[in-house]
Amino acid sequence: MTAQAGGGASGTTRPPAITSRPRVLEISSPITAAAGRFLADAGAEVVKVEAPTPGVAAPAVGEALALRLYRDTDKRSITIDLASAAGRAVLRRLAPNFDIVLESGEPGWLASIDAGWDALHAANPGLTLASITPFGQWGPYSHYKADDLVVFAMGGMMFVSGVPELPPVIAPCEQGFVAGGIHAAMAALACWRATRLRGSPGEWIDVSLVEALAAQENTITNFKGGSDFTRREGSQHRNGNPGRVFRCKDGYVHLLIQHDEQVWARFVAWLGNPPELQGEGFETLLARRSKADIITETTARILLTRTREEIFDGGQEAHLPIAAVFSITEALADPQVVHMNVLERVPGGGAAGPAEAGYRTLRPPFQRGRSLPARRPAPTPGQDTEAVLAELGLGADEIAQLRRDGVV
Amino acid sequence: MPLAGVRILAFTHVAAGPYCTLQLAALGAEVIKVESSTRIDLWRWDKNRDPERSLRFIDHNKNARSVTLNLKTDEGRALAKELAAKSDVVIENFAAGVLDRLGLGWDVLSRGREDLILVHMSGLGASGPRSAYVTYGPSMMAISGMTHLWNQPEREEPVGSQTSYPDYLVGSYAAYAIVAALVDRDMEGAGREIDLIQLDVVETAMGPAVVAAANELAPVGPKGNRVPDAVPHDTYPCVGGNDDWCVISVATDDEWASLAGLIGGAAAAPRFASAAGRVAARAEIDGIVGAWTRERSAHQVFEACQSVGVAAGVVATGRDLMQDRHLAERGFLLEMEHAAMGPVKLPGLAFRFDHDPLPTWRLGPLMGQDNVYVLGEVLGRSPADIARLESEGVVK
Repeated sequence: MTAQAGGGASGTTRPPAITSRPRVLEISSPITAAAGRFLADAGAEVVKVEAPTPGVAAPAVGEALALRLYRDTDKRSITIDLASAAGRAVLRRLAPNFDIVLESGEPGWLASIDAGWDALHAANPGLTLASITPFGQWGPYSHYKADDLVVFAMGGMMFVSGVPELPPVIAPCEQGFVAGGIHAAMAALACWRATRLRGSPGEWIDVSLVEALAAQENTITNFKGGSDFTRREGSQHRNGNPGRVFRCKDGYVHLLIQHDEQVWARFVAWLGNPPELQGEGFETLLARRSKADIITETTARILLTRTREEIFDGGQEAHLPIAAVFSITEALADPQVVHMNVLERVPGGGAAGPAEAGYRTLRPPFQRGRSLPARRPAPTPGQDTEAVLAELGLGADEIAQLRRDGVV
Repeated sequence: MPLAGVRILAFTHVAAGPYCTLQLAALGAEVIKVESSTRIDLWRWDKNRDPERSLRFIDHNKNARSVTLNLKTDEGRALAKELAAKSDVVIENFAAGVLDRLGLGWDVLSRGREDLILVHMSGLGASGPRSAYVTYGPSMMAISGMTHLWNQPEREEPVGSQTSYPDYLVGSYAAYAIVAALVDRDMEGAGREIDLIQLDVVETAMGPAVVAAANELAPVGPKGNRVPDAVPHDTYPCVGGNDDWCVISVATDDEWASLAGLIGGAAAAPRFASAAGRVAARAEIDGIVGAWTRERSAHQVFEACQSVGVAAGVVATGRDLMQDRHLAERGFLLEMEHAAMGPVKLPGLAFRFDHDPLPTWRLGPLMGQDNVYVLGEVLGRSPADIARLESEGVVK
């Protein structure tokens, strides 16, 4: 890297170096749909390829509908039967028209239908392929099967989650897919940008969901040999005393008092200077570790006499890192979250059922304050098949034939 | 390297900010971390209390360059401003308002460079009734609803996790947001200020549950490891006691037939052959599977199940990860040599490229390790001037 990296100071805005948003083909699965969500949040045009369902598909309801509304808002959907030779031929014809392809098939699957990296790269050297799989494209486990449960366990996050008296527990909402999706979207968008700015060739990105989780949380660096590794301790934080969830008069709160001696002093004062926490042995975090039981017991006893709101707001008034434990419904109703405007309304017209009347979904966090085009409601499967195939140059007769043959 | 030529100036500490710039460095950006011995990054304090011997610091700050600027001095702040003018992106996670008080807010920095991208990572945002609240990763987990959802359904008291998982979500998401903002800059010719609210990111990571709650589509509560329509799908105890757990996830009747073939005995009952039959007999099946796993190690269960095409895994400990043959063969475990600590082993990252080489990893920097590069090469200061800045406590 040279001293010129980043360019000089500028007094003028630059002429646009990139003139269009990336076109993304999501060969759809719960894994790629997460990555496609993030790319759509950045304004990419995302087309989802889904498997056709024979007959009339029952509209999604409940959790499945929520998943679809969240993941697929802004996307278009086409259905192609990738189990058939004709469907695979359609995919091979379509894919090179895109800038980014997202897939999560078993390693080798895409190549086995002649749409692997070599074929895509030959057809479109600027195309970036993101392969997102549990264990990555190669290595001893690469052909092993895994869902979110297995990924979360193998990535080391599950072992440190839960209370010791119950089995380890997974995080909500498929966090392995979320972590993999963020990293895939980040790397793919960066590669696409380089192809547009510098004419770089596209890349084949290998994202492993297990590695995405194993890189986090110091699980690896906290292993000090033998049996010295982190074990699950409920909500008890490694470096906090108190540092856990406590019950209060009308719910639960979370406290995390760590190294700072001034924070400790403010905390004791805020508790009302209980005699149990006076005297020697509370000077440093290390010293307080040996007093963990009395600190936790005393805190628990006093917090039981106060309400969640008193603790959250009163604690913060004393500049203490204290939080209310909210359910999602409570979080969404919290005045701060309401003020943040995290939700926005999407007009109706997409997926059948409640979505017809419109629905509320999350606004992309980094787009706050920007005026963006109106959001497109989540599609019903195959809703855009004709339009997308026509845009990509298939004739009306050809499309009609594919439909008669059940390929699309 | 896709982000070659991009310079990131980081006023970040602890986990989320450095985890963000780590991703960008891996994509080829130059990351300059501004720190100071007058205000040491908490992440440098490992158990041993020596700021140059923290494994988690050298992990999360891989490939970053360190310049020590004392922002309590006028000249230290002036140097930071000069550096910002030579950077594409400035990222900070000070408490609300600190950047402005340092004279390094958007109004000032954007005058020095109009197409600058300035990213704040505030906990709860810059305005609103609780905007100034002090938050850490675990606080985000609590406030967002994640702590409530991350639990076994039979347990009333919310548990969440002892981890700071939201920090990693926010860090990687911020890196994605920066790549997206660079694209916007290259399209629109203008930079922007991004208030990346950490709570917003954590809600996004639970998007399906948030949409279910916001539109009253389904009850939203803790589910634990089970799913309604598949059995077995849970964590099971293994021979080694509370350090030894496995997971097994059967999605199809064929997979169950394969697993039942391994287990034998009662597992072969015809009434378990269909998903509906297994769901109806959940407790019974979990008992049969648990009795089988209890006589084996998690590694044995994992390999036995995978050998017949059944999704299963080890509930991996830090030791399991460190000794994993797959991660080792993929080069995910980096074995490097540190100036103060000697040989160290660290995790790699989530992504790699087929054709471009991986970055040449450098361990997280010693404090001020790159002062000469940053002040000399980037800002053009002479060796004499750098010596003066050091002696006057500006570079410290």
